[in-house]
Amino acid sequence: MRQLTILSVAMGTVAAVALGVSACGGGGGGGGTTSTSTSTSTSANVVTAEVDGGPAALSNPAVNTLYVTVTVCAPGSTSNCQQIPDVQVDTGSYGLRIIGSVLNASLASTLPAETSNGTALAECAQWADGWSWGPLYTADLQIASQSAGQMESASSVPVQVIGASGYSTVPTDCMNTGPNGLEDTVATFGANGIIGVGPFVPDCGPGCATSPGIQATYYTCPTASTCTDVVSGSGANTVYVTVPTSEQVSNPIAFFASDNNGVIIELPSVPSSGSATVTGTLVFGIGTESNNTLGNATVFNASPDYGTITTVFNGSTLNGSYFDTGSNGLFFADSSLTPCSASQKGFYCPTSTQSFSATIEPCTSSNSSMLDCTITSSTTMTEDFSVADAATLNGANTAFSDLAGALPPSSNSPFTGVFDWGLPFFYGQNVYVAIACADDSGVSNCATGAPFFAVSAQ
Amino acid sequence: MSMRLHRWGRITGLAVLSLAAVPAMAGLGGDLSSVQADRADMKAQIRATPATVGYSVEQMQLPGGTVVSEYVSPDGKVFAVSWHGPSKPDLRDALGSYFQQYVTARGQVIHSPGMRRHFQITEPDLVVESSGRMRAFYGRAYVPSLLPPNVSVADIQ
Repeated sequence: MRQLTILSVAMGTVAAVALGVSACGGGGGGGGTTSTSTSTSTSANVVTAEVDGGPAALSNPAVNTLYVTVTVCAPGSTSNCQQIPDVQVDTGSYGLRIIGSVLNASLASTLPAETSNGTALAECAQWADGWSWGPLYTADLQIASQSAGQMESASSVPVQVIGASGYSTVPTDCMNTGPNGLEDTVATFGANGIIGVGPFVPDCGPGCATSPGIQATYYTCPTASTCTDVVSGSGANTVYVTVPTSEQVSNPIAFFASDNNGVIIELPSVPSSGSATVTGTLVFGIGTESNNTLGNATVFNASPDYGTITTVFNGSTLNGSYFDTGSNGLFFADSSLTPCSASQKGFYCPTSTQSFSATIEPCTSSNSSMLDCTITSSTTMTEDFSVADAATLNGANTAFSDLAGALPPSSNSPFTGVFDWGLPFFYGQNVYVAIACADDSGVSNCATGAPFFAVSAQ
Repeated sequence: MSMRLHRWGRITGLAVLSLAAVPAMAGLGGDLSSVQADRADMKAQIRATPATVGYSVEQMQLPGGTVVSEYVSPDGKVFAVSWHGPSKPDLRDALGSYFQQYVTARGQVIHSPGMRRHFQITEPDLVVESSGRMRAFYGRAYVPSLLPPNVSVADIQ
């Protein structure tokens, strides 16, 4: 039985960092049996995805983290390929990124560099807790289908190689966006890579495509150690590197030949004691095959700038909300819930499991600084959920439906608040992510009303 | 300069203080007077909100649309910063002398993939809450001991 660490979102004082719940005495064991939840479906656009502890390199097993196996090939090759397991599925980011140490040198050396005006590109990919630095290449991507011998494939997909050898010099303004070097190895990243499949295509968008660009995002590299994000000027007149949206690191789904307008995440339910692992599927495309129709799913139009929807909880309307497989719990503000201390800091630790109900609605604009939502439905959905004591969850499990954590109760202007429906929301219902895909996105059959999320019962 | 204003013109209704010089951020714990320095670390426009009882807020909009707010006490000291938008601000500028403390604290936390979405440090003299997805970041940082009287953490948005 592996020792549990409910990996903390936050920390207290320096001394409070702990490696996990004690395995002695009553710590960690919530009793009950471990279970493995599974669901399967078979068709060419259906791939297996799993919640488990992640790569063996992790010193602490991952919690509520969804992984998929991808195959990366040199462009146009069917033999120069590498199968890469434990790639995180993240609906809160965009693009395929692989940790440099994972890639075989024989493959890495054959990937063409992505360039701007003939100069190699690199990126300082941004996360809430830091950054991932590395060069950009193009590669062919395959994801094996559950249907024997079939796969989803995409040609010449932009790929960021994080922590690539030779790119150890990190530009100063990249390092200024957060702490150094903590999202660039398998152990610190918590995965061999990440596939960002959120409701947009490019990972930066118009801001990086139009002069003056955005600082500390895209860089040109005359050599691997002389990367710069500056094109010209200085101070207030700096012009930063711009990359057209069609050439930015992008949601790989948009590069599939078909079934490329979105994805459905289908994970089975998880009992209150948690599951050792969860096996489910990603179904590519929305309304393009018989197995990916919306049917009677409840559609939530998302805001066209931030991909947000609305949640009404505890009497507050939170219009900066979203569904996110990259969040390892439900995150929201509730002063009645006791925050955890020690190694679970950042999560909630009520003395007994608490039950809640919230209402989910399509996006709304709270003020003129937000782009208008295109509301095609006035649907609402009631979502009941529980919050367990994070400190007593069973250390043998990696999936928990009742793990929740704190967000500051600020209004997060321009929004009126945020409810982050993380991976627990995905257990036991099908969640659709429809990609915003007008213009040069490359998507065929853009889903009407995209970007939107949708939810259907299993 | 005025053309740049239109390009960033999504946020309306706020008075634009000055287009003549683009000030740098004072940074957390810094003095507002340093904002008027010629050195422009951050390419931004200053927009000031009307002074609220107990504190004032200086807002800047970065290229790309991210809004950074500095909360200033009556004696001109920045006691909090917040940000929201498609990109994260230069945190060395935003956190000022507290940036290294933030970096050190982050380095001591055992990592989990979930931290790419939500990350906090809570220390007696520094609280940093950083959240968000790509293209949609938000966060705030403050120094508890610098909050003016009658100003609560909830005012920092």
